[in-house]
Amino acid sequence: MTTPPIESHDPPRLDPGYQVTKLRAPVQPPVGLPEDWFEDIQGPAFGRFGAKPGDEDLTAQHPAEPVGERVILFGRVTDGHGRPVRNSLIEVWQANAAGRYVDPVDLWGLPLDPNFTGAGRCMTDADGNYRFVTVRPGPYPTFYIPGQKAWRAAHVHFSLFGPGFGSRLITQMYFEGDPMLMQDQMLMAIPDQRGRDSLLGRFDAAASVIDIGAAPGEKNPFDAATGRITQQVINQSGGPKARRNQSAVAYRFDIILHGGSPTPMENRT
Amino acid sequence: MSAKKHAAIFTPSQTSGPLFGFSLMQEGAEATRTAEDSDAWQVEGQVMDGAGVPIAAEVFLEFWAGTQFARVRTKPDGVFRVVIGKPQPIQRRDGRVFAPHFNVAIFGRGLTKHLVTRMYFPDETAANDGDPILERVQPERRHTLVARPGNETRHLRFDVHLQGNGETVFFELA
Repeated sequence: MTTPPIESHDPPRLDPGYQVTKLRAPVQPPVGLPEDWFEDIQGPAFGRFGAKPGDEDLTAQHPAEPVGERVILFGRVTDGHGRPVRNSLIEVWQANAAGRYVDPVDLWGLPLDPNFTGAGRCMTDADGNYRFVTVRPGPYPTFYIPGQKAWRAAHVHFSLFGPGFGSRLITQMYFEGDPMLMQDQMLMAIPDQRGRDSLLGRFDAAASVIDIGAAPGEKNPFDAATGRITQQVINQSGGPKARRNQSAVAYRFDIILHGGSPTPMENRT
Repeated sequence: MSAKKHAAIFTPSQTSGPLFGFSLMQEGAEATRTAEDSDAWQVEGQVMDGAGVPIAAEVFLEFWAGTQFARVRTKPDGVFRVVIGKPQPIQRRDGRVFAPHFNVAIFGRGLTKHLVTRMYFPDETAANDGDPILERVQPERRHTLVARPGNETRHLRFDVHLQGNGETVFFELA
């Protein structure tokens, strides 16, 4: 079997456009290790760290729903051999629709949403698939270099484990078509366009959910023959009875992790 | 449309940024053992930048060995503390033996990709001398991978120097 080589396009550790890297990027070259030297380290036991049902829905963690464009973020996680990464923890975190994190280190004073925390977790399924429901985060202003104002494009942080220590990944997903992408130094630090494009969630019409119509026990608010809003609805103040509308715009974000040796290389003594 | 075939791309890394705390720092994550467990070791340390200044709150570390997994963020005073169990040596297929160690990953603001290093135990001199990974490291830099004995029993000090004097040895998959 011939597997085409998989390219790496990480941002450089030392990034002049991201000032704080100047004192944090190692100067000495790293010591290279063959990939299989990490294969003794399997993904950690997630007993303490696993996800429970519901953790994947960031819109359902509070009594009421968060404000914002509801989105589905989904995709498939595979390893360097194209095999699904099964039953593996994914953690996500993000700003709310206004561009504000609940984290106390968020300094910029954009509004909090009492119904949104912005932290989610899920396990990949037997075929490596995952799915989160959330709201689209807002862009927010920042400094990469103190005094130089800049934007962060809307993004969601992803943390993945995969088959072993060598496959550990923290990254950020961006949104296809976002005009802010070119403004974002974190994304633009990846030198290769295809590398940057690989971090884009792609709009997926088929996976999106359009949820309109009558709530259970109610009549359709539109007259089927004429398309007019029914008199019954007009007579109600405030329109049809409130219900949770499941409509959401889906973005597909597939992820390829390093590692995943076909055979275990070591035995514990 | 011509089907132009491009190689697949490993999903690129991006910094965790400084705002991970509310999501990743789960209660209890900083200990895989209780202090009473017979194999428990306390480890504390700091992550220093190139000016020798400890980085407070903006970074976190993960300690991996076997099924043990601990995650800890540096506190406002710049110090992290974990409680872990000392792992067994690992025999490779080629017969070589890894001395007891933890794999350590460091994430945070200003790290566009996490850094990977190892923490060995200072009381395992013989095993460390035969370790095939320490062997790959320049002798004068090996000490950066071995924790120092702390003030108490089963207590270690493990400082990470991101750059500069005494820069810690970091690894990369070749």
